[in-house]
Amino acid sequence: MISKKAQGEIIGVVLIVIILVIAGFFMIGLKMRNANNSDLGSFEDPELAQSFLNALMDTKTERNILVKDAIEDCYSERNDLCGQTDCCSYARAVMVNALSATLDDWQKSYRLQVRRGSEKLINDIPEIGLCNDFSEKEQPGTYPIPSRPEPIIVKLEICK
Amino acid sequence: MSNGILKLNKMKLNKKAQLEIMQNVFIILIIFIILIIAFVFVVSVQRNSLGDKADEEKEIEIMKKTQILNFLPEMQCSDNNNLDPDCYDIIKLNTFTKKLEADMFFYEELLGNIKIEIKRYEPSPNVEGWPEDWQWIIYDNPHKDENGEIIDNGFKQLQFPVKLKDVVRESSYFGVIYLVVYE
Repeated sequence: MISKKAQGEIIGVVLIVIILVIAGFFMIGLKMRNANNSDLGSFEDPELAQSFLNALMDTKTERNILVKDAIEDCYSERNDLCGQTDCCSYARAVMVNALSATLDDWQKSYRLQVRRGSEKLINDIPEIGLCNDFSEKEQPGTYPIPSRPEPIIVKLEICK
Repeated sequence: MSNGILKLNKMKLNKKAQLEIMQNVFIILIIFIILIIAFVFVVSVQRNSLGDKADEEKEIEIMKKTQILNFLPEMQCSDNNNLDPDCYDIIKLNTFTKKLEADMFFYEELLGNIKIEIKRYEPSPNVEGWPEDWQWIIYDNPHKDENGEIIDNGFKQLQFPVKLKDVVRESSYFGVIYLVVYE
């Protein structure tokens, strides 16, 4: 009889401890969730991708041509604006340089695509990278370049 | 005989009472330890959240400072009084830099303890990327003590890609504006 009573009391103590532990975990979880909600993270410019494209596309290169004109020429039938070099590879080299001097240096992963509809004459930068369709991204930047039959779209996505 | 039995019973009862007291003390001790652990945890979480709040305020302060850049027509390109926020006029940069070198009094109030630096980057292949003669330190005002010595409390740096417009050569270049916020 006495041992049964003792067992009952032990179970009681264990129950109290379990309840306290569960309550503790609940409180920890609640606190952590609140802490995560209030965290702003480090400040990022939401329009970084757009500013980058606006600045780069209007840049005049050492061959005295705008980057956007080089891209347009790449997609046109002429393809003679860049002298002896193919405008597609020239425009890509310029964009690679600008991206590596800025976004690479600032340790941001990104993906730059140049398309006219489904036509792709300039390979994505980088061709294979951490920033893909499934990555969480900041607000993307787009820069349309007038062209026929439809505009060329330069799209820069910066991943979080 | 009956006295002996009574004594034995009394001893047994005493032992049981002692055990029960011990049990109660043990339970109170466990609860007390759990409460102490919970208290320590809550205090540490509170301290962390205070730190987060301070970081948050710093971030907000930096956000405010970055907004300043959008309200400096002294440097931005303008066309028929329309300002382009991502474009900086090289002629205006040179003039504004000279003006600030001569007198910074008004802008000290407006800009506070920051540094604004602009660099041109040449993305063309086979060309020097950061030409040295295309760099402007527009404004630099670190914290200083009473003797004019710079106080180094660290800083946060933000960078923004911008277009640099050269109206004289009818050219535009790729540039980066560095905003250093002194802490």
